[in-house]
Amino acid sequence: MLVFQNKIGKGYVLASTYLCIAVTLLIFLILFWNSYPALSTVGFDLFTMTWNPAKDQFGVLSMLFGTLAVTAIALLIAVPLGILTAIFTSEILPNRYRLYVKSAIELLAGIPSIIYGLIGIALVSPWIATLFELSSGRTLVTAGILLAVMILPTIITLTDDALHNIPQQYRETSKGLGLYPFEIIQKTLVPIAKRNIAGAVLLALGRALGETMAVMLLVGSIDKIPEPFYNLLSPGQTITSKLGREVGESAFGSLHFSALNAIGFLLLLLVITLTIGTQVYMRKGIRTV
Amino acid sequence: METNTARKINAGIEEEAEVSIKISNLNVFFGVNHILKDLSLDFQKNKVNCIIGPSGSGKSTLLRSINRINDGTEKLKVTGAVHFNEKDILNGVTNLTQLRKDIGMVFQSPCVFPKSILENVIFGIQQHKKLTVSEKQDITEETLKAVSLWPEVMDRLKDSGQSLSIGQQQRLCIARTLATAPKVLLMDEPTSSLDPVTTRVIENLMERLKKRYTIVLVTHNIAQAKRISDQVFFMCNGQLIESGTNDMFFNTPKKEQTKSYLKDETCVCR
Repeated sequence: MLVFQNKIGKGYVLASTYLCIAVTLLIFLILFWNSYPALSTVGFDLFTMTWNPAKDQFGVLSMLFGTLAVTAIALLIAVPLGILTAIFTSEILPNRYRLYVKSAIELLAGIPSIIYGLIGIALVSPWIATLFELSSGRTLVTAGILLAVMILPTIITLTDDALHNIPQQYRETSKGLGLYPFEIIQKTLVPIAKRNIAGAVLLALGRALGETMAVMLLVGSIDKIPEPFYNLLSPGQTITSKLGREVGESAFGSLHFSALNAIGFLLLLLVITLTIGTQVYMRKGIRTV
Repeated sequence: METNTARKINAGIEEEAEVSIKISNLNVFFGVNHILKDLSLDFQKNKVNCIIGPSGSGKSTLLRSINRINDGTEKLKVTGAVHFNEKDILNGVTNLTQLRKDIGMVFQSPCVFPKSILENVIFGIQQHKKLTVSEKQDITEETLKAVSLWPEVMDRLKDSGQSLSIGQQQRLCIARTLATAPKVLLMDEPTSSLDPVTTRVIENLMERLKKRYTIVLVTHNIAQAKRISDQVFFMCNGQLIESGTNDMFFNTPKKEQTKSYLKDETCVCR
């Protein structure tokens, strides 16, 4: 009976694993299958500036730039802020308050992105317009700021867990060696938790790259790279905002629909490359310890 | 502390001994619990001062009061005086970083950082002063030799410290503490997680280290205390019941509680 139960358990675990792998492969295959007509027709013209479905022109460079710019802005704001907040909640805030603060932060993660988008339109966008004397506050920076707020809970919660789960003896040993409290955080705890912190940032990066609704409402939705390119207080377009706006308008099976699948495929490749890249970097870091 | 040399009366016999740490009327409270009760005792220089007693008798709390590692713990209150280097380190201005550098601590289970062997050894000392590459090498070699670990790891100093066996890790932790050039070594049951052979290695190490350092060892292992201690302090329920030299304490104990504890490790002082 036990052997039978073991076999069932093993089969269940294996089946779940294979199912996950199959779903991932299926997503890849379907996206690639639907992208193929556009990829074979447009070819390397995909990496140009002009997007005009009426003329079968599907250049994605501006969207790629917008995606990377908005994500970079979000990470630049959220990563330091999130890690410092997590250090505060995990190492400085008394335990009896930590749970309340952490619950409040986790609550932020549950807010639907459309609500963030609405807050962005009502609050952040006018503020940016006034602050920088712009005709419209819907810019790459606005989308980046809002995205930063959206990914903060992920970074804070996971980094806080990573730090809090480090055994107490590392803190005591460091204290016993004469390190100041700040040095214990900087030289003992953060290096020990760096892999998990990187994981938190990676998850946040995934969310930032994939976020559609809030970004679509705030990014300005103009298919161009700002001039000069570092003028990020200009409207732009991200891959997700483009998909969000145009998928409904494109006819199923058309070249336009195929091109939209192609940019989705590109986004997937981007996320996977960044994920694998970060993991390889972290493993390399661990090997050299 | 008025003088480093104090006339000590232990178990009724007078002797001259140089005192390294003098504890006077030490009380430790945690909330409403009175953990250490009016303790007064001296730890002698270049000796293995061994604190024994049953679990919960306050041995570790006493040890942790000496380098003030419990500071910052909520609801903790400490009164009395601990004199070290002719200064009361509990009262008045004390540089805690310097204090913990001078009074190093080795914990129950080895805590090796996820860094290389070399980085582990210099981890503490390089927080106190900037080291050149050759200084790092020299300190590592010297301290690893002091704990007899050098021959085992000299070819793999860049390997992770966590790749060592538990016994080697504990010696690495002792080396890391020695690297900060302490005057006193506090050892909180440093062999409790080790096998008998490795325990003996650490005990031999303590025998050698006491020539250069004052050692305060907490152990619940009576046989170990008998093997390596010079001075023994028996604690029960937060009080110092009896103290004396190894010979006097184990051969002619005065108090009934001590006799009972040495006989079958039962504590009748509660």
